[in-house]
Amino acid sequence: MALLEVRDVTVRYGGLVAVNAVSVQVHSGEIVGLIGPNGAGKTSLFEAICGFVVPESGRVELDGTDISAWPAHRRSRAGLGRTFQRLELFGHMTVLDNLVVAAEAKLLESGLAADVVGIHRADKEALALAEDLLDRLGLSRLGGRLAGELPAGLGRLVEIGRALCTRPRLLLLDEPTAGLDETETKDLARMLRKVVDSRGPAILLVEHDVAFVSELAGRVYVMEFGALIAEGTPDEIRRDPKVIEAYLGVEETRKHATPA
Amino acid sequence: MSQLSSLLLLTLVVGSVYAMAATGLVLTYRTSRVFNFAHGAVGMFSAYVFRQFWVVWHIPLPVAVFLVVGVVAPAAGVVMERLLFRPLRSAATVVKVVATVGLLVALQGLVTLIWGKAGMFIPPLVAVRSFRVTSNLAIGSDQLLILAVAVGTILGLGLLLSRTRFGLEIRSVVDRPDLAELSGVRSGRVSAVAWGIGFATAALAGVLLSPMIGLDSYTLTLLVIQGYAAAIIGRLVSLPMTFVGGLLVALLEQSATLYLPPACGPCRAIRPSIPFLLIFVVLALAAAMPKGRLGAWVAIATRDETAAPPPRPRQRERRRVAPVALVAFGLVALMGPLVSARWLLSLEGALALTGVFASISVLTGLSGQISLGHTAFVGTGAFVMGALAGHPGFPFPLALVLAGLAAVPVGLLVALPAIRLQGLFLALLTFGFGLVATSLFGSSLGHATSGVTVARPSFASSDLSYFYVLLVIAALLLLVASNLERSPSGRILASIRDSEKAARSIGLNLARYKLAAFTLSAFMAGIAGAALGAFQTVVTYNDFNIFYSLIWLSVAVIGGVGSVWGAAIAGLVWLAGSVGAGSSGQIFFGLGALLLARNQQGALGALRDALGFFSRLSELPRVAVRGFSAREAPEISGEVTGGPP
Repeated sequence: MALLEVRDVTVRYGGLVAVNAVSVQVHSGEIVGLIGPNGAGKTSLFEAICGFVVPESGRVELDGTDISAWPAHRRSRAGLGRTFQRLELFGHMTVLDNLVVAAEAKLLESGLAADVVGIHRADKEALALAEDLLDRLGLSRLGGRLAGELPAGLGRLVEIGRALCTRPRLLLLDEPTAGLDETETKDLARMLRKVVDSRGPAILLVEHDVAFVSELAGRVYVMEFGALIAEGTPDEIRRDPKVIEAYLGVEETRKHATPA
Repeated sequence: MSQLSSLLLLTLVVGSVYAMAATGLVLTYRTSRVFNFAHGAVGMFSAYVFRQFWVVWHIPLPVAVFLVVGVVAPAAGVVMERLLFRPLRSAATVVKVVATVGLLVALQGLVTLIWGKAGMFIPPLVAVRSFRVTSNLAIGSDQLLILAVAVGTILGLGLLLSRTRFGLEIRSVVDRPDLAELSGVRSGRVSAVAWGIGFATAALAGVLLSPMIGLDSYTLTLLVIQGYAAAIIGRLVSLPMTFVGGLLVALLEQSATLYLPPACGPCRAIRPSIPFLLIFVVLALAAAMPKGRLGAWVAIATRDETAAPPPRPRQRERRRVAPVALVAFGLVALMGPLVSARWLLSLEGALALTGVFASISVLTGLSGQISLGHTAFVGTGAFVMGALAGHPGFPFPLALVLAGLAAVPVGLLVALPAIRLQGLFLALLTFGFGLVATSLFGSSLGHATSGVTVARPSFASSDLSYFYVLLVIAALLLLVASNLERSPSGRILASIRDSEKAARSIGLNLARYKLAAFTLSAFMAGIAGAALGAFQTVVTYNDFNIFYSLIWLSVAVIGGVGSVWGAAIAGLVWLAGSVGAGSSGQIFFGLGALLLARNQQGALGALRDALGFFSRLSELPRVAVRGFSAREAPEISGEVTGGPP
């Protein structure tokens, strides 16, 4: 059984059909890519999976459980971790606190009354998890910095660390390479590979950067105009005439057209 | 029949003035993204100035009107936009609300200082002659004048917006300020002019309405709510629909005056809340059907376009807080027996309000939500305390806790819509709620002037012994807020304030935490209210007038809502204001909030920033020399000089 099963999801904004009956699967231990030109509906599908956008029809299942009607925070608790295309950090909190709060959100059940009278709950586990992840992301040095002051590349890593702190079973990344330079992109790819290989979550990547996806993903879905037009290994995708026409071709011509 | 037709006539006259005020309000809001809570207060202040010119100094009517509406008000609008509101454009909604609320508070204080508390009378603008319209309906020349001026102004603004180059610039700034800038529109100038026009419409509304409704510092201030209700029906876009909205508000108000039985207290209490109820119904309908056409329609009117997170100071080291707090507690405790009786009373009042400030700190500081209706919570606590403490032998601490608990359902009532609404709309909603609560307190008490007796505990009936009771209560409430601030829950609230999206993505149920913050804040405010009531020993409904919410919020901001310390400092500010400035303290409170809205650390934070600036300034020569001799220029030089060397 697939870890994530998306069946015939349709997202509509007014008259515009952003996602048209798309089905996608992600299995445990897999890295899956979702690519497509601007406006193809990738992000809408992504948001529908995370519960930030309500689809018009279709089902989203996690481990066989229908989570279509669940709000976003409940999906997160069930094991869907995510990042954002435009950084959404807790900017006025330290990098470490960004991760700690995520770990605590999952670990601690409501304890407002205890907090108010000053009985401090054991949050050592959360702190340990957060520090461990900072270490693995190579961010330990920055733990005390304010998240809002970081450059975009590091901010993205913090977001990934924060998502990992919720101990997801599936990590959804929305354009993780946006705003990163070449070295940072390579580092990110290496880090994500490590995460998955160390029995971490499966990953669903929404990306623009085809090279990045080809390097990481075992399987790739291609969307255009809200519909799925191809699915396969990166190699198969690259050879698919429909994909070349719809996406790669356009991208290539655009690259050539742009003066250096 | 003649009753109905005169009702319709009044509706037309008053409604057109509302619509005109609404047009100005919307113009400023849409061009500058700052909702001016003081819109009505500007009208109120202008009406007083106009009365001074016309009635007291005998300046001829046209000149007086021109001076107020054409010179003073627009100039004030332009200057305020430039100095105070333009820098707030991209600030968090809470900051903008606090700034304009500060202006409202200051204007009210200023009016009380100059012209006193008593209401005033302005004669009709023109000699009243009746024109018979039908056999049983006559229109007065004054009404005709008001109608003509208001409708003419709306038409003029409509033409300005739709037909002129400047109108085009305004519309471009409203849609996309960034693109407008690129195509050569100076959005700053546009917003300055919009504020000038906005202030002028408020002033004109004040001048036109005050001969009809009299002049006091409260009634006209609420014009902002009436205007907003009209504007929301026009979706903040359509002038004709805004006009309809203004008529609707006026119609409901006039019908309430005419048809509600005068003997029924709660019914009369409804009247001032009508515009708010209208806003609430529209918002509730929209929230109930977010996908429907009505939902989409209202969404345009309620969309908060700048959703910047509320500012939050750097996290400072949190050690060594306890010793400082203990020393402060000890010092205040020692002051009790040493100060004079008059000072002791001021000190007690400040201590009781420190608890209120702590509750505001939890809500506005920690969770980034805003309440302009805190008087509802505080008042509930005080009145419940009055009922409980009346029973001899009822344990005081238990009564205190019950008074706090009684405020919780009131808090929940406000908090439920707060889950859906943010920033500006939450502020409006809480303001309206506080308004209703004030009216309900008044009507349910019946005897507004005599008030309710709140007994002090038998062990602390003297002023000095009750001073210690208040000190302990204030300390406990501060401790609660401080515990929360430093706990995992505090961290979670901080994260929600920074980014709601990200908070949802890590599995936080926002509704639950927002409810929790409101509940706790209401509980604390209820306890503080109970303590305040027993300090005063007699409370009237006017002690919990909605405008106190605004004053308290202003003082909390001056103290600094960014940390729990700020609540304690706000207590000091209140003490200083009440001892040093007496009733005109309100002016300083308002101005303070206006100036410090951006600074979550309050007055001390601003002072620290200023000192930091001067110390950097004093380093400037050294830095410059160093930067000149060595090539590596320290970061600081760029920050201070801000230009090329």
